Amino acid sequence: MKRDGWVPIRLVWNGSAVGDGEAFVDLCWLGDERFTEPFFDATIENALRRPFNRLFTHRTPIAELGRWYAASPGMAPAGFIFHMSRCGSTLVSQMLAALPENVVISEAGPLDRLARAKSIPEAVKAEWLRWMVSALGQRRSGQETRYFVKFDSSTVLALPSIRRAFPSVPWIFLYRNPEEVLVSHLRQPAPAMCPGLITDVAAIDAPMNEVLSMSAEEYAARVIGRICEYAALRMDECGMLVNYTQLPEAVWHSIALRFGVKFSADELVRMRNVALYDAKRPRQKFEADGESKRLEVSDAARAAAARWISPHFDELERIRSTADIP
Amino acid sequence: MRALTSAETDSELFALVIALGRERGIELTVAQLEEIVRANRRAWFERWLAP
Repeated sequence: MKRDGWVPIRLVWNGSAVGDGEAFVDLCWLGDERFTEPFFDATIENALRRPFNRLFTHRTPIAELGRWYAASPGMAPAGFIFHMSRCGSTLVSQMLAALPENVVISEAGPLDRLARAKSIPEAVKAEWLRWMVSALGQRRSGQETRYFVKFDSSTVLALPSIRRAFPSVPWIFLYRNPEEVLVSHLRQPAPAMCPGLITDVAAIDAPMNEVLSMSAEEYAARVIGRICEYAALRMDECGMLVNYTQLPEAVWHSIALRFGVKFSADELVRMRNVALYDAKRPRQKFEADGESKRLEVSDAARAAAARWISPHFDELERIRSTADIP
Repeated sequence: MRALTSAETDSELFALVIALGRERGIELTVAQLEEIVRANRRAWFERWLAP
């Protein structure tokens, strides 16, 4: 079946739990629209408001993605973006998405869910990941030449599965001052920072009653710390570490180099313009908030960041300082 | 397909669907199509409640 213009938006199983029964994919009609919103979900929410998508829903066995992949593999990804959250990763993806030559998939639920699914045999998962990445990275307007994928922060814990499926795709891990990241989550927690909301990754190896007795500062710090620890442990020859302080210049310097892409002068202007605005609220001008976050940090948050995140942050910095690419 | 996907309003889409159905011997009503839209919306919300 011809699938041009369709995009997978949700991975579901017909059993009672993830990996239980047969896997299906819900598709949405996107036509030639680009992924320009800061997150995949926002682009899809807009598309789902269209009369066509309100009337017609489309669910297919995941094997159909395999047939689609064989018939139309789409673009090979030029790079994967992992991050500790609240550290500039959306700025990177939005700068890349500013160019119509780039397809940028930012935290696509069906892809993250698949990568993190523990109950799928690894060989099967690798194949399904290739199908899903291919389906998301189809050319829609015809002028796309590059393809980038940004994953949800917790999905770095599924890095081995992703590397198995895409052993030669370069990847980066973005990180930032621990206190600044923790304060951001205490202001407005991401789902991964709320106990029990993201259940397909074991960010904290502790029983639920212990988890529920933790303070918000400790829980978030332990999750963030685990993400950083894992990225440092899994660093390999395709990976590269990027500190928030290197942005936005790193996008057209070290990240471009790592991803094997070269931007024209005109493209650089367009990407730099994006950096002038808030990546998650593109109508607002960007204002550096690192200092205000550090001033806001409570004693409890400072202690949690120092205990649970900073050792791993320091290790990331150590690895970055010894890497070949500046 | 292009006409269906580019319909700007429910009423425009429903008119197209009803006409295409009739060409194929299927009689549909606006009320039936409205009920499908409602059911789809309900199913979408329920999926979020029971992932």
